[in-house]
Amino acid sequence: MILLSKINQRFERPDGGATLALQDVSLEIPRGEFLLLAGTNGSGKSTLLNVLAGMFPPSSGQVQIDGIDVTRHGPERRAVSLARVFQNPYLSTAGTLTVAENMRLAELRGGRRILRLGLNRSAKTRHAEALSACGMGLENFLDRPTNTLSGGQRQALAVVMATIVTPKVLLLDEHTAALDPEAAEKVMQLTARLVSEHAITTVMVTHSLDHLPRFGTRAVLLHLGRVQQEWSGAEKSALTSSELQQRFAGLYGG
Amino acid sequence: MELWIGAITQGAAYALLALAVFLSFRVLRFPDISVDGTFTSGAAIFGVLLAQNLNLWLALGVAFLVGAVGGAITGLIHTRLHINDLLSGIITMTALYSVNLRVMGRSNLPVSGGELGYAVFGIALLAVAILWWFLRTDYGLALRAVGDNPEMSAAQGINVRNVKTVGLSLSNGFAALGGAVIAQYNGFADITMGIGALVTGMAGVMIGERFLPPKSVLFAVGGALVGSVVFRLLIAGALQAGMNPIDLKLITAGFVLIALALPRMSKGRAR
Repeated sequence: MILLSKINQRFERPDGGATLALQDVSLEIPRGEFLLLAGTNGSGKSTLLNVLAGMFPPSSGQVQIDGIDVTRHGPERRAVSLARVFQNPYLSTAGTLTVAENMRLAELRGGRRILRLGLNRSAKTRHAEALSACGMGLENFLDRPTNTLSGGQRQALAVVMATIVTPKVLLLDEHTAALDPEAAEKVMQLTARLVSEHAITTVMVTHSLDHLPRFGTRAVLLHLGRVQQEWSGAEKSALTSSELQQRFAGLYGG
Repeated sequence: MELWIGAITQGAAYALLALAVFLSFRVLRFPDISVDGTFTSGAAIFGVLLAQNLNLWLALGVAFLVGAVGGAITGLIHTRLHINDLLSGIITMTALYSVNLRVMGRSNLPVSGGELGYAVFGIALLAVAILWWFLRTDYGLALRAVGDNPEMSAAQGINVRNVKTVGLSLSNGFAALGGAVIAQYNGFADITMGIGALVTGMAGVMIGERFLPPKSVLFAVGGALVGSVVFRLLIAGALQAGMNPIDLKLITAGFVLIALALPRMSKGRAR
């Protein structure tokens, strides 16, 4: 379970002022929940994800994962329990490393990396199996550098990498936003399947309105750094796109 | 004939420097100019130890370690004190100039005793083999990931600062080993011998990439060896044809500049 208590995040501006990116955000995310974080640009949704990922400690407030205070832990320490898929397909994998090498990196997430040829035949077989289960043909590219793959293939790989060792928490940072609609849909379907198969506690930032009714078990709308609205599973599924569009249009106006 | 054999032998020796530069510049994407200092350090300590009748191989080992310490210092300056990459190397390189003079006691030191001969090829091949193995180990994968994508590496739980420091340390160890072997070949160590070491190493790496496109770790590492040998052969040919040795660094720099600029110009503003 993730517990965010009274998170405040101030960013100093060059002009001497400060922006309050998050204001008293408190959230309880029970085990197994698939939470969607929605909001317009500048709503604080990405900042909140970065606080969860440990990219920077919040100005005040506390972050707990399974009862452990991780507020001051950086991303390296959190990697033991936390996996992340970046928005930019170029950032979510190591491009000059092969698909198999990326899988091996992910397999050791948060663990010890020693002077051992860990990427042996049996590891490759293991990786090929995991990749073929996702049905995108990635198992055929084991020895190809990931920078030769399409954006969609890379993000699919990144999702498999993030879940190959089931994390306590999975963070998805608009990971389909940079993809064409068809690839985005494939990657979302894969994500939803892996998340539910392994019952992973997941937080996904999205700006895609049509994700809200279709994915996840709960949604939170952030606006100007505050929680504006929450939808439980049933309420969320009932949302229509016109309702949502009106809701978001109102935010831009306000 | 002797000229060409000499060039190939020198190429093998300079391959150690090229491997060092390959590690920092290509793998870690860190233009580490500390090799300009550690290359000389290796030669200096090696010469002094040989003069004290220390075993040749032991002296080479110590040279490697001294270089590794230099690289670690650059790594620590960069990762702990947050000084930018180029400046961290410049600081180490500058400091090493005085250290190297202190070690040698003067600006030029004869290096004699022990004879490497064709063992230079063995050393170069061993270095290639070690790096080929190392870069495919779990730790080596982490090192390559750090150079490729530090943000993602951190998210995988890799301690980016430590891994970078270890990589730079290893790189400068190889550079110092190269300096020692070159000093042995030339018969002397000189305080200025490290000037342009980074650029010379880059030339070897870049020529190697022409001959062995770095599609695999083996090609990438082996390319440094092949590239260095080809580079020395080119130099020998140019000297034969009447090039003044004074112009060597000018031509090397020009060559590396072109090799660096060409892919950028053809790609235009992409990326």
